[in-house]
Amino acid sequence: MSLSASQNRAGLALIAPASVLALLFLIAPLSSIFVLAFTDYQLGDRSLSFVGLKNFEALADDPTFWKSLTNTLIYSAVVVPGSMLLGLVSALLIDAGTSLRSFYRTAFFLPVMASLLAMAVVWEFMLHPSFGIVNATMKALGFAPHNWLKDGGIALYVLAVIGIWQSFGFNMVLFMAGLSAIPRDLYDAAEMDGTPNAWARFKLITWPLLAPVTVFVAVTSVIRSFQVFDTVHALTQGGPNKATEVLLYTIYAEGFEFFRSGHAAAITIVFIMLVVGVSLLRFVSLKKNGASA
Amino acid sequence: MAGVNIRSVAKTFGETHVLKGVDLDIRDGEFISLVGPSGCGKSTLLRIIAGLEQQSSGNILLDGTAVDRMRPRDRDLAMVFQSYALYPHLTVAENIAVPLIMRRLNATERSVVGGLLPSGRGKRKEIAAEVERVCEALSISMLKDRKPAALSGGQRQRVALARAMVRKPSAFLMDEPLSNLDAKMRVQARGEIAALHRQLGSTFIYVTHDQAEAMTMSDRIAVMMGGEILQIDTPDQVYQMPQDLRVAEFIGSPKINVLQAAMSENGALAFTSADTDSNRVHAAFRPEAARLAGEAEAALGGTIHHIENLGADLFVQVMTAGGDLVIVRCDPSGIRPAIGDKVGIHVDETRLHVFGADNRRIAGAFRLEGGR
Repeated sequence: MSLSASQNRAGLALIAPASVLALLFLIAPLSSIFVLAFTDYQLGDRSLSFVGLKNFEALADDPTFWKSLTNTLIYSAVVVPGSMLLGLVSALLIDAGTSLRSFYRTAFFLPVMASLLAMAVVWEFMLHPSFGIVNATMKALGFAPHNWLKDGGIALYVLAVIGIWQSFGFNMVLFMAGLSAIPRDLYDAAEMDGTPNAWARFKLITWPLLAPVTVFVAVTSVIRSFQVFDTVHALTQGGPNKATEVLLYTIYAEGFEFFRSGHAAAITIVFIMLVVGVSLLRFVSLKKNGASA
Repeated sequence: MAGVNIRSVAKTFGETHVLKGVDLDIRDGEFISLVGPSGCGKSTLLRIIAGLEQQSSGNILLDGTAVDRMRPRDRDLAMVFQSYALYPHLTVAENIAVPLIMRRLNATERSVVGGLLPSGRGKRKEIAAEVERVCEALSISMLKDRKPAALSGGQRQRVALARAMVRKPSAFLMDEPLSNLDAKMRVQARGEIAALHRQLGSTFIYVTHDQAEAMTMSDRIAVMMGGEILQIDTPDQVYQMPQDLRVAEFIGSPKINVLQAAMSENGALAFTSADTDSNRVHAAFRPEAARLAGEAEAALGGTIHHIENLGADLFVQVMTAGGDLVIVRCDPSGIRPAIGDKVGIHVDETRLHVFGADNRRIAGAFRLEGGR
């Protein structure tokens, strides 16, 4: 099909605003990051010179970077399954219940909408070693209190629990939308077909029909968990002794505390590649599903 | 095989009485239709029989045993849903196998590792053979590996039927199974379901709002309205001897003609639209119980308003002086009336139904008198 010149012009005019915005806010910053990653630029410098792959070579030898990458993956490995499972279970419970549905939905969604930085301060109070409610409860129940955020062995997992608390409501809403798209008739049919219990019905209908939603939730959860920053910044600043150093925090520290912009850009590239990789996985799985359906 | 007895079953949702104490005895092997307009409670009654819904009061007996506290799984019934309710992610063969898998395999045999257990494998082989037999009986073998999304409406309906049949249940419950098919498929499917009933000999309880489906397939019809059964009878009886004006109006197409009449004590009827002190009744006759006559010869007359030519029949709509529209069936090979003609309507008195103010049938022989 060929377009007339005026149609061409109209088309270009229509995509112009979106293109300009994308160029300005997406493509330009991304490409400047790519350029910076191959320079020795430091924040505030008047000049810069290209250093090739030196920044990446330095990363490979930098224990902080590896610690940061490992911590991010551990955090993700706890938060993703945790927030998905909790999201699914609460969605199923709310869906099965008859009363107070909108109350529970709102209550569980609240942490998603609240400012995480403000919530982090609340968590800091709750986790305070001497007068926090968590330790008070532990003591009352006869357990030993912990210095939750200052103990290198558990600080990352404490942040992960906060991460789950913060994000499962989002997953719950997505799962609830998925559940509401499953026809009720199917459950009646399963009842007539003799499914012995709710678990059998879940396996026969709910789980397979939620599969597309589950893939979507998994991918968004992974990406969101890679982006953990607020709680780290507010509660631990990557400590103690880099036990909670995560990728975004390392980027922030390198770029804005040590002013090593080139170095920070190199980590950013690694981070972007991780996110793009996960998105590609989703794309591939969607394509596969589309072909088989 | 099972007879179904329904004993004063009532169902209320808050203030709404969906079923007001329904009694119905369904014989073993009978094909019974529950027919009525939407909202009459027929689907609710079916779901109560199935166990998908709990009645507020009353009992359901299957084969003489009360099943009120039993789950659907334990009632040995199968249901075909209006939407077919096929599992969209399973193939046709897997869909049909579900009722057998759920009843014959235990939890371990159903799980992922179940395929490795020798007992599970043996049972799965048996199930596959039974699925194959049912598919052949309904000639859907070539569809076995397809997903429901790749099937036409008629094919989905057969798969739903196959899934119900595969377990050989004691009774089949069908909730408007044909309403999602186009008109032509529906006529064909009607014949197939009736043939299936003859072949299986099981009890069929069939819910429909389509009086034609009920008339063509059933041994007996239960006409429901407003949460009550108005009449239970053979199709012939329901059509020819409606016990209630609402039954007469619901069954039959085109609709029965209903006119106001005054009845004197000796059974003489006079059509009237005027308010008189005499005994007011509804006089009803079907389009084929009337014929067009000369203007002066008949008790009823009017002007031809419209003519519906269906090829085999001619339905002539006559506007009476009283403002009622009366439909008369004519033979298209006879003299063709024209719109605007003034005609008389001769009604066969032996096929005249008279209903009182309470809508109930008044028995007796009637004479039509006078005209307007």
